[in-house]
Amino acid sequence: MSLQADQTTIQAILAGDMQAYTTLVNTYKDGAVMLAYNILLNREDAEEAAQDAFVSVYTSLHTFRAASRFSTWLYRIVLNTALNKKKIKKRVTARLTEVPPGELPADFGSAYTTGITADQRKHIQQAMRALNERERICVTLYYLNELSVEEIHELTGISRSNVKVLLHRGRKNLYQSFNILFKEEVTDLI
Amino acid sequence: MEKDQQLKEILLQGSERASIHFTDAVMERVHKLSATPYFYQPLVPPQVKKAFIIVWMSLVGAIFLTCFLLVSPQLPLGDWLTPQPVAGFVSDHGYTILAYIGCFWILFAANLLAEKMLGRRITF
Repeated sequence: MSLQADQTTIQAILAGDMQAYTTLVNTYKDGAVMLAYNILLNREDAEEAAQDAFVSVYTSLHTFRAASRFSTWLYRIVLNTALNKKKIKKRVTARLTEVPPGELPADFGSAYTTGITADQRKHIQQAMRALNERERICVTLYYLNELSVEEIHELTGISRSNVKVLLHRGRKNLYQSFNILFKEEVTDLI
Repeated sequence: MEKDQQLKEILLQGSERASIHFTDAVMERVHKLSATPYFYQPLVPPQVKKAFIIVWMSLVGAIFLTCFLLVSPQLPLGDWLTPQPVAGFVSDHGYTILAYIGCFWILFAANLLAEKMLGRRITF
């Protein structure tokens, strides 16, 4: 959604148009879930965190100043919500419900089907899981949420040079993992 | 650059998306939120509140009247009231009171301004 379209939609929501909020949620829901998932590494928690973030966005939309893109503002809320959720979860349940690295739930990826196989999806997710949290957040924001280095810096507070380093390291680690995990399959995908 | 695009494609294909019920779930929560009354339930009924206001105003009026009587030696007072000179009171406490009132309004105005500009209240 363009900057102008975002502004128009936000004005409509502030004027009480609920349908406009549905449009906004539909536009950004995938990006929000992707980001939350790459922090929480659990589908249900990611959905819940993204929903919480959208509710927060609705209640505080009047404070949005349009100094940055709406998506940057939204993803900051998603990021904070997911990180808080992760902190609380860690404190409360320790490691009881966490999925061990390399082992994914049986219904993994069942909610969304594209041209790729479940196995390939599993491999891509495993490669993402192999990154450390900061690398994963930067890679997600850059590649999946399509934010610039400047916006990632603004959103996370990580310095611009550090964002570039994390992206470089993340990219390198992903290529390595892809080579190990599905050497032949990756060439089919691209 | 091309490699970057390829990586993006791969990651997009392997990423988790929102479920089909996502928007409905959010909108349901938002509607519930909108239906919740935002006003506070008053602690006392309106009649009692009115009575409180009348009592409060009477008290304030009585205090002012007493102050006026205390500082006016010309007025006929009973034995139970002794007039006090104004100058003594002002020189002892006047500046403290003024400073207090000044600080209060400066902080109050700063708070209002901050709320308007930043969208949040400053707590001291």
